[in-house]
Amino acid sequence: MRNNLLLIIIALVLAFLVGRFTAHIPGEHVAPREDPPGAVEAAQKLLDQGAADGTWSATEDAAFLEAVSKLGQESELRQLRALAQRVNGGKLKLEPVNAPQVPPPCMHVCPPANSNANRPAEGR
Amino acid sequence: MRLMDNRKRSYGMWRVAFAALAVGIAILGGSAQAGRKSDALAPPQGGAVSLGTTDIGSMGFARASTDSNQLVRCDVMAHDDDPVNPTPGWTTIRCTFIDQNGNPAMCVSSSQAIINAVNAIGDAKLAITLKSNGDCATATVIHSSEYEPKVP
Repeated sequence: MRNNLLLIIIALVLAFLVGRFTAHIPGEHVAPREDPPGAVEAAQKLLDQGAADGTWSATEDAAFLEAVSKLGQESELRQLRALAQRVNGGKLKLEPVNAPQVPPPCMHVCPPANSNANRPAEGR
Repeated sequence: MRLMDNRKRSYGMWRVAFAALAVGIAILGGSAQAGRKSDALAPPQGGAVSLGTTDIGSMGFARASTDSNQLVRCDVMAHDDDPVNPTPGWTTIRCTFIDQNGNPAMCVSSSQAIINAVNAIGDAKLAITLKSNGDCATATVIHSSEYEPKVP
């Protein structure tokens, strides 16, 4: 009787241990990715600097998305929400993706930088 | 006399051939224009993108719009939790609308239901409602032959 009880206890302990170790397959359950040190601040800085002039360009957006992609899920969502809130609140104008970042090059002969060629003549 | 008859017959055949050609062109031309077409938005808004309680737009109409403002864009960002082992990770979407006056709207979501809808957008019409915190509350994707594709 006592032997049987002992056997049952041993079997239960073994079952518990086997279950515990087989349930923990490596790679199956991974802790959520954490924010790398300074990554949240970097994304926040890009958002603040980019939005400072009231516009949000495609270049700023690309840099922001890259910074945000390094964050964990919660922080990524928080940063993207912060951008969306500014956009929806009318604090940010989105520039078209193909907006020229630099003046287009002259097609023919460029006037000198200090030229008055493009200035309308007075009294005409 | 026989020569005259032959000429008349030949002339008649040409007329029949031209008529058949004209009918053929009409049928082909007609079939190219057939089928119900629809603007992305119902009157009175017009345009391709409308912002309001629900933001609505289709990629094809936004691209074909005559101004350079209107935009419908959805970014899908997929991540892996673990840099070494492949894991299910997570996905975030961000959708952006700009109307013909340059007014923007943006929402983000990590809801699998919203992501599934947005992933199916193609040239369909997308209607999204926003929460005040910048999240997408709902995403409706309407596929219809009425909506034009993104060309060119």
